[in-house]
Amino acid sequence: MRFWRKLRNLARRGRLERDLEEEIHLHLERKAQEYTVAGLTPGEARCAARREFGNVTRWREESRQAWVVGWLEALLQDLRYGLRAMRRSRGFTAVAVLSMALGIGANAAIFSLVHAVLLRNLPVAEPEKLVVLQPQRGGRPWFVSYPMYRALSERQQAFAGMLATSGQGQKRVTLDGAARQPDWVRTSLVSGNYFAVLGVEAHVGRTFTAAEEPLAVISYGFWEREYGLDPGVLGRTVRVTIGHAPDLAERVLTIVGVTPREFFGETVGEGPEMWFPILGVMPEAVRAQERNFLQVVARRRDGMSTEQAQAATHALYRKLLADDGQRPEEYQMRLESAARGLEGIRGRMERPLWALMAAVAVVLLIACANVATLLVARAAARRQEISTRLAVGAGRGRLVRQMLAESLLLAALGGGLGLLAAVWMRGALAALLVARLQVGLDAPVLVFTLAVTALSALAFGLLPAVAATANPKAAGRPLRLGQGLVAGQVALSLVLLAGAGLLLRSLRNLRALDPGFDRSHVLLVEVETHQVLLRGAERLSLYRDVRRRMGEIPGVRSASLSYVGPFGGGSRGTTITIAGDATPHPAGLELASPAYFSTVGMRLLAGREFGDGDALGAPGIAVINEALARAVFGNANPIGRRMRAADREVEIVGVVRDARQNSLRRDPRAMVFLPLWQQDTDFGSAEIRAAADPATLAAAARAALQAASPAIEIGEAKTLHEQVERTLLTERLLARLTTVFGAVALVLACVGLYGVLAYGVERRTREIGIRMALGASPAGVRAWVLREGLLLAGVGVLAGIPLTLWAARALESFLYALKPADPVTAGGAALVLVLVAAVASWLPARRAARVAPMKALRHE
Amino acid sequence: MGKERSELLPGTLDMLILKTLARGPEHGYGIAQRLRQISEDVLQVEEGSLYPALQRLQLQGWIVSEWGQSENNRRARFYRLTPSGRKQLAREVSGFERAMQAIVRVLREA
Repeated sequence: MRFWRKLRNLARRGRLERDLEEEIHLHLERKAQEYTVAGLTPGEARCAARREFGNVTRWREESRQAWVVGWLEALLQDLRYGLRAMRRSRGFTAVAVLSMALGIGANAAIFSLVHAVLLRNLPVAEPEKLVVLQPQRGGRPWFVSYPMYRALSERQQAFAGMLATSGQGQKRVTLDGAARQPDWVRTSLVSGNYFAVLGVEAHVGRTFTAAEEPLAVISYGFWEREYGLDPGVLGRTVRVTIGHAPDLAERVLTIVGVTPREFFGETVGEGPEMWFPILGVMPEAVRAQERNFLQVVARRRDGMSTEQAQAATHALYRKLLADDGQRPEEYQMRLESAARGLEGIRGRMERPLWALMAAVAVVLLIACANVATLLVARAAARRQEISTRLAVGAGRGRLVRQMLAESLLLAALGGGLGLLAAVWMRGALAALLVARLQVGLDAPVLVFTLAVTALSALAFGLLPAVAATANPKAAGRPLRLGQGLVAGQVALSLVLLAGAGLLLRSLRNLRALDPGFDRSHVLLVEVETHQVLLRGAERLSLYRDVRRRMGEIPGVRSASLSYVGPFGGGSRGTTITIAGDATPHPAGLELASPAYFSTVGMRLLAGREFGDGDALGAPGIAVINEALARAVFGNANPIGRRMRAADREVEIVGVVRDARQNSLRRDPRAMVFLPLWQQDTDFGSAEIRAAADPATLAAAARAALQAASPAIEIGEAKTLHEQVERTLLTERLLARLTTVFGAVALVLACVGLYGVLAYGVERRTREIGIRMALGASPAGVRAWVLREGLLLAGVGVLAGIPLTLWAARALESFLYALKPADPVTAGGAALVLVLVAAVASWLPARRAARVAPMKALRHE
Repeated sequence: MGKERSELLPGTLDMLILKTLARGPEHGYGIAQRLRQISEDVLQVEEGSLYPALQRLQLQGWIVSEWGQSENNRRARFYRLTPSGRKQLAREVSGFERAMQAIVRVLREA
């Protein structure tokens, strides 16, 4: 009650002041009147009235204190005082606020990524009840067909609902009545109940209700970009081409709704722009039992645990497989939480993101130490004022509180600025991850930033404030505290610099590696052929058509298709046995079209590559790589030898050089290549060798694929160089950002060092004057200050070395061909630090050397 | 000022104000007048100290104030006891009397 009355009083302060003033005035007037009546002169009467009343100012003050919240009032007062102090020393304020902005901004930015990728739940109803059904075949992730999804969905009892999604692909879509046509649209085929199971309501219009309708739902971003948020979009049609050349058909789909702005589908890092019901686009999927292209997400029923649901689903899955005549024992069904969405980029970004979070925490620590150093130096300069105030009776707690209020202001300003910087950087950060991410400043990010800001204010404010108000006899203490803080900054900077050095050098090591193919002049197009429903000779002729069309693009030297492709991300394993020997040899398996090796630049060491005639019906052949040749045949010539690979008798017709498969980090494995033309199966990659810049052929290549069959889903088109670089994404991201953070740390540490030295010189002007009067040379004085700076840096470096070694061990998994305790890197980082420290010490040293002895002696 | 004046016992000002207001609403100057008259000028307070006390009592909700006309037709702020203020007065008076009796006993016996 009292507190609220007081708060209300705070709001109507002006009226309370006026009332009190009037009341006191009236009182004094009546009193004076009384004395006048008793016979005093008006002047005497006023004096007497005042004497009786007592100190008017004091009683007014006390009355005021009664009606306001004491601490709040004091806080406001402290903040006002802090603002004044900040205005007085603008240089200090600027440096402190910038330091905090760097520290807090970096933390807010990285945390917003961590939050978006690792922590945030899907923006759907009750996301914690969602699970993904993750089938496995022989221990590898597997997908399900539409009939399998249907059967699972109809016969399960563990879930309130079960949806299927194809994931994100790209399609050429014609928008009817639109001013311009988009290039490629990111699309996703989903079951009719997709939005219902997720619990996502349309932002405008409605979502799907049945499985077969020819309908489309578009994303908010697509609505904004292509239709300018026009509500008239509902009822408009879009056209997609389906089928295979030459039997192409066009399907007209009606837009019925727009998803909410924050909805990005079910996979973190993706963002489809258009959703179609699976059967609305490919009605034949109903019967396509062998097309395993769907992922299934389900909503747990209340009271059903994940374990129970998993047991039931696993049993049902195997039963359905057995009914289909498959071998159920090869398959498994696992349930994993899908609350935060399907894995997407999460798995590969988890460790790097936490590593970056640690790096920015160190930056913040350095920034705090930096501001604390400056505060210590300034508090020491204000020593006289502080002792005076203590002497006249100011409470120590009150003074500490006052200084903390100023720290809070500095941190808040820095935090605000940092938040702005984080907003400005978030697009760039999401781009660094090469993902469609909604990196927002939502509530958790703001709360995190606020907490970091408050903690920082305490961290850098408390120590200097306590030290400044401590026993004035310990005069050397603040300086020593400042020196300690600077040494600490240097030590932490060394950790960041050495870390950045390690990451940069391993990135260089990786880039210098020969991957075993020629990454210049090659264009890759990712494709998905699950929706191609052709078999045997029909399929073969489609594939030949695709290769022919791509080969006819002007500027193309050769074109090929393959199952995985160089650095295609996946891999298939198989076991090889040679005739007359039962020993199985494990090997990777790749299916390749004619001209594959020459297109991607894998040198043939012996024999020949696949020709167009090595097709269905022709004798089975294979090409193997050096590693497999060495493992199976030793030094003998493998050409012409027969072996069994992937359940098929083949003759070895060629040997190629070893090449790294999906990662530069892993040594090449033993590989066997079989002709794609002999396999009657999907392919996942198309390759082109260009005469000039391959990137310019991307549009033509996609068009050629699309023209051959719109059922071929086209993913990204990129050069092989980009593809390899992309596998270095994490390394690049870490190396770049830690380098930036290291540089920031270096600058901050130097500012701290400069501050402490400059303050020391200022304080010892008299001492320096005496020394010079007694014959010390300016050069000697300069050396003296420089030595002090270097000593501080040296102590910091020494303290930083064990810290660096400890931190580097955490980086070990990110390094390549480099030991965490690499002496060259650590030594280099230390050298950089000491050199920069010398530069930072030079200015105060020069100033000290210029002290005029007489002036210095008169200084105090 | 022939009479000997005595300092107010600490903590009793609030009680005296409440007691004064128990007779009816009054403004600040009037309260000061009455305190002086009734105590026959013995109780000595700086009149200004009334005002912080009045603010405190208002915050406790024991008295309320409103602006009205004074005897000589001036605008003045009148303070009035609330029911909870009346209860508080009773509590303070009985507590004070107990303490006084105890003090008097000690002074007599010891």
